[in-house]
Amino acid sequence: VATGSLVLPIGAARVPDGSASNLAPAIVSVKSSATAPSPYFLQAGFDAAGTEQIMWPLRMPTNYASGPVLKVQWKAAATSGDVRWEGRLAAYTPGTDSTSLDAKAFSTANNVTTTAGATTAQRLVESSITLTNADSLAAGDFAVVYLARLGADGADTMTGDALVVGVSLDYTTV
Amino acid sequence: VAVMNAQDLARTVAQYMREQVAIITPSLTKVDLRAAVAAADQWASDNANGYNSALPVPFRTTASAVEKAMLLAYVVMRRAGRLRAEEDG
Repeated sequence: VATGSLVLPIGAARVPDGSASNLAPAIVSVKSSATAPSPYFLQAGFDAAGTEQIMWPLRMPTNYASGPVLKVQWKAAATSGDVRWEGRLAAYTPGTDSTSLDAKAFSTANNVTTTAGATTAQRLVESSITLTNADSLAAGDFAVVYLARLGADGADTMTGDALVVGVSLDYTTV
Repeated sequence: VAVMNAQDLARTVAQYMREQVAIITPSLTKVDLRAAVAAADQWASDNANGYNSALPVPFRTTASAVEKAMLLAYVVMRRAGRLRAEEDG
């Protein structure tokens, strides 16, 4: 049994339209303060007071078998407090599912709470959101992977934005 | 002057976190910030009459409550180095 990994680049993410309950994180390009040539990367800043979301539509690889886990690499100015993450899946099997794709909904939420990187601001940490509620995801499905920060949740205690720089969907292969 | 309600306090904390992220002490949590905002609001409420009494008569008797509040905000921001005037270049 091997592990597959789908890289979900910040630059390839779809952002919601900004209407009520559809708020998006600000995505900015960051330049490292190191001497040139210094690394550049994109980061998505998830607000500390509300729910902001981002998502990736894709076709699931043919070697997908089970056990999807959303891996989220993030940092913050804060060095204490927790961030409450939420991951969801919407999976649609062509030729089998008979409802309109345009009315497709996400599965039940999957959540994890992770503590900010201690002692040093902008220290990278990784959260793993096990997508137990996977909407019967299967190889070849059209899927939408959803990531949100629940900034107003009681378990979310970190001040300021959670800055996501890397995301992947890991899974067990056939 | 009454203290702010829960929604106003929460939105003050939210906007403070968005706009002042560069100066917020990293070790503070949202619980700490909420308590500080509530304390500052309580202090403003408790001392509103004292502030009003300290203002010179022409301003005290003619300026609106919003005008008095903004004046205080400008003084505090300048003292904190957060108010830049055109004369500063």
